[in-house]
Amino acid sequence: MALKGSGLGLRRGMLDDLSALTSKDVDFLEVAPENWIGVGGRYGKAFRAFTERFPFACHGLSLSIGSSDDLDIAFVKSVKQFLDTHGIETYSEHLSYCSHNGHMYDLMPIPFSLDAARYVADRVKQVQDIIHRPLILENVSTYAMLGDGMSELEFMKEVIQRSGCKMLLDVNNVYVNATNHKFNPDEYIQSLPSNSIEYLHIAGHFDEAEDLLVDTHGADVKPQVWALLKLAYECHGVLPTLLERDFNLPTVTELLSEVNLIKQYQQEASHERQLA
Amino acid sequence: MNANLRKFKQDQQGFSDHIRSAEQSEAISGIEDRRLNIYRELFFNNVEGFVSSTFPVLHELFNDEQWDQLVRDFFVTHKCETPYFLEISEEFLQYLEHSKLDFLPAFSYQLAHWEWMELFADVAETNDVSEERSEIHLSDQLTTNDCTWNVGYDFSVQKISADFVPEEPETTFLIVHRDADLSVGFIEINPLSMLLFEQLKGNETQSVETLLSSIAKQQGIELDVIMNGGLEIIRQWGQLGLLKAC
Repeated sequence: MALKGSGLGLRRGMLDDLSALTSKDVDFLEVAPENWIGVGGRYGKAFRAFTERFPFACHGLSLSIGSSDDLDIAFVKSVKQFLDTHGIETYSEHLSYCSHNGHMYDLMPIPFSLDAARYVADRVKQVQDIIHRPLILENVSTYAMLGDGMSELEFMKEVIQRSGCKMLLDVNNVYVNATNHKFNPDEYIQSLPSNSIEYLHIAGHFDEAEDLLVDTHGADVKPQVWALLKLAYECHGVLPTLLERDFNLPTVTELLSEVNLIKQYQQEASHERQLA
Repeated sequence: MNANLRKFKQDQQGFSDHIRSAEQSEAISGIEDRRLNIYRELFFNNVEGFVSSTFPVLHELFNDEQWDQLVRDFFVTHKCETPYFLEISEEFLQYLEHSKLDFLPAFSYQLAHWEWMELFADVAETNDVSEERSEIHLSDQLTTNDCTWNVGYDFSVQKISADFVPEEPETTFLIVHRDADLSVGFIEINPLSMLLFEQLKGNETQSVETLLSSIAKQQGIELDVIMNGGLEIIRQWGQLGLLKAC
């Protein structure tokens, strides 16, 4: 089932608080398959109670598509099985790597180059052959720039073009990286191929310094990031959009007020598109 | 692999080495230290969070400096193979079994194994659901539920806390059970009960009576004693929901 409307990232720590959530509150939920594959007991039961009520997206963390370590084929097959078991069509991951001689469980910046883009695109195709779905890759936050000077935008477009993968556009990450690496976030968003963008993420970040932002998923969404969301709707249409919140969890009411803001901007944008 | 991809791999090697340990690797040329520091802190805090949330008792036995040293040593020296976050705890156990840090008490691995066992029982995927059996007879053919696990340790790991650190080993047998409401509990048992539990676990066709007689023979204990005592224990286990028909 294709995603639509507004979504919320579901964390294990939120299961109880969100148990009364209805489809009036959010249209879809998202989980990291790495946190739920092979999990039974009370967590497995609570998870099934959600998958029976909501459309889901899977947003993976351990694929390590940009790593020079071998792809973990058994893992990709397990993801495919998990997606099928729970009737989940959408599988997104990160244009990044999280392992080198073993897993490190967080995202590192790929050294960008044309050869790296070719290498990553080949791995994307391998994954797509196994999961029988397009892989959807997110632009990740980075704090350091490596490689031969190729920009993130060029790298992303090259991987999309070569592999036929889709993109998960994280507007907060665009803002964070635009600040950290001094590029124009509006131009980045405007330059993306509309047809390739599958859905959007929005989240809060932490200001480490004026020129260095950290993507924490631990704060409210900043006004400048909301502005980028509106721009994305303007450029690429009203796409499904999910709020990510992993740390400093606020009350459900506060979380849903941010989800409602997504809904409001979606309505406004679709209204404007109709007028245009 | 062409020259550019070799460089790609080298860059990843240098970057990941630096994140794992800035002390044991060089800085990355051309990148400000405050930017690398964000990665160093994010990664270490992330791994530390996974380890301390699964091993809270082990955590409270060490001071901050020792704990950071332990987590750092795990992060630097152990190659984690699992892509699954809950299984980082198993990677840590594998590391701990062979850790060379000199401040670790002798029971560290076994305590950690016990803490992991509680997590394992909580999240294990099993088809069985615990169900109370109020009546058990000697003729019943019984085995253990799949949501029931037995473990043995050289130390009384279930009692360890910052206030109780065992000086001497004490052989300890425990049964961990996941109940019908999906909560996890445990009971401590004696060596003979452990033997009985293991016999039940592997049982496919035998009656309670046959199992108890063979234990009596094996252990050289009077049949009456085993029959009465053993049946009493099996009935308690039945009430706890640990048993099912073969």
